[in-house]
Amino acid sequence: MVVQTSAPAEPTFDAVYAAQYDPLVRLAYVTTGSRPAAEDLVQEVFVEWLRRRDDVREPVPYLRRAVVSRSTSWLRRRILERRYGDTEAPPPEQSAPPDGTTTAVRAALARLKPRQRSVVFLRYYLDLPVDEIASALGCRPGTVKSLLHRSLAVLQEHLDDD
Amino acid sequence: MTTDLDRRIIAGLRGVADEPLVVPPPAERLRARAARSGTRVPAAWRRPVLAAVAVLVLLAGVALAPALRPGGGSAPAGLPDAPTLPARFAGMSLLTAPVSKDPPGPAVALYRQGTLGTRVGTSQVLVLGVDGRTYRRLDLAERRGAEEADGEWSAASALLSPDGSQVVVADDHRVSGRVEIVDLRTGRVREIAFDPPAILSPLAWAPDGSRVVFRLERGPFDSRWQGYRLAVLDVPAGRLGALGEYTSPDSMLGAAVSPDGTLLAVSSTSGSPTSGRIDLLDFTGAVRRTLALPEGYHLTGVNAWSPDGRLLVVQHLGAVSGGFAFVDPTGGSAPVPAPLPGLPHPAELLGWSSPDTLLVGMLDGDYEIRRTPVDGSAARTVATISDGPGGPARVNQLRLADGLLADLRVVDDPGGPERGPQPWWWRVLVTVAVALLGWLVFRTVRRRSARRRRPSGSRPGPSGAPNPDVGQP
Repeated sequence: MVVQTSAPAEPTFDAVYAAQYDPLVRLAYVTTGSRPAAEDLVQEVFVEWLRRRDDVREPVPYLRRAVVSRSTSWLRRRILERRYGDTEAPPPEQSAPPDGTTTAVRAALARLKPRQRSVVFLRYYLDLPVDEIASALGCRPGTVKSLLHRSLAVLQEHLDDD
Repeated sequence: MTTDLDRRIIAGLRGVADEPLVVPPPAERLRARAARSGTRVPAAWRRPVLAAVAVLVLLAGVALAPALRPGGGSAPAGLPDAPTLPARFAGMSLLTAPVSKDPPGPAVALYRQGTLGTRVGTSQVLVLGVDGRTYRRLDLAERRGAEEADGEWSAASALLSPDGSQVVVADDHRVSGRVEIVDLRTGRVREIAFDPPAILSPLAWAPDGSRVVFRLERGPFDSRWQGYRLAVLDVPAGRLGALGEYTSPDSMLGAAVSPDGTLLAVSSTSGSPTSGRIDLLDFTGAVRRTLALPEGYHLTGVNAWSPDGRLLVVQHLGAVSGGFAFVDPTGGSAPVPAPLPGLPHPAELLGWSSPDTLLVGMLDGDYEIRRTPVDGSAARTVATISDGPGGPARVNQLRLADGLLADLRVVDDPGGPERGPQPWWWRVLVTVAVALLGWLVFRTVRRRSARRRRPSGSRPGPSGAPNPDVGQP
């Protein structure tokens, strides 16, 4: 999948929305594990971008970072709610019987922290270079490499067991 | 180079990430939500500007607040129903304004506070307003002080008038040719010159405030008289003159003017440390009577006369520490109350709150003001002044406005201390602190703003994308 990360002229909302809505929802879904939450979060991010268009020069990095940030916040709230017994954790969504690799990756993702899941998605699903991942997460490239390294260890562990 | 592990991760991740069917809602729906969700967030440039404006408003508030405060810069418009003492005096503060900057109006008490004799406010002369909460530093007395033999700064002598509206200040450390009277209602200082110069110590005000009695000491190179003399200041006329030829060989421990203002009681030891006497003089300097005192007792307090004029209080300065006794000033055989028992701590007479009750100040850790019945029944502490942890704010030489004691009330909570306008150095300090804080906020906002604007492709990393949480509801 090719994702546009910059444009010579300021991109229009419709163009960015059409190109980014899908991958951003999947980024949020991998990070949160909840499709409804993922869609809500991504729509909130686009709405927020509409309200802040004067401030946002590079919308795609902004949108990615916003999605990761809101996804981790959403998860924190869910953890607190579960801790105090208000809601049940959403079951992982499965539309079709998964194959062995998908099951192994899903199990590995479950063991990763939210930011690690985001890094894995950005690196292996969107095929972004480390620099762009760092930009999307608002951290140093070294941090991205470290997150990737630890995530890979967990993924490899599960895939080796597959 | 893509490894087998990479390929398997990509395949498995697609299996997970592609599970949901993603259908974007119409863009118009999001636009409508954005329109409904309120006004647009201010552009980034507005934040630092708003922060700067907020800092300026704060600075203006800091600078103007004292001037805008009710009563700030002038005497209080109205007086309370009754002169008030707080049950607990406020602690000593370096932020207390001077009388010259913000006069407090009539005061109920005048005292010294602080054991470290410096000129930077660790030793203060304070007046407490009749509202029981207005504190001011009597800066004139602090300025007129001098360095003592121990190297510590000591303020000049000051004495509060019976109605609490004036304080007489005299430099009792050195030969001088002037005394000064501070009007606590206006802050104005009236200087009264006299000649030849001498060392003056104020001893007592006449009850109507028309006279002040001083102890007059010759200068070190002045041999015109030996010992100590008395001088009387005619306050309305602004004239100071010696009180006849009355001379005492000792330092005249105390003096008190009778309630009718006609007689002056002066304590003298007659050269003997154990046997004292009181000379009663009229204001020509003639001795009308002499009262012999029990052994070890002396007249010490300026407010020694009872309000009805029937009794004079004397105090034992020897073995019976803090012990008070009573004498009949007429020299007759009228019955007088029995001497009060000795006190465990140093004490001083503050005055009479009624014809049968004394107010006594005692240093029992903190400074305590006690109502002490003359019949010997139990005393009761009505007010305290803390000397602070370690005692740096110890109180001494507390004097109450004698004419206000009959109506004096003690209030548990007269309101927070009113210390007047903050000193310039404090305002500078606060201004610098606020400016520093504002600069830090400004810098933080500017950095966030710059981070948001920086193109992600040109310099990726921690500053490559804006913070999406800024402005998030």
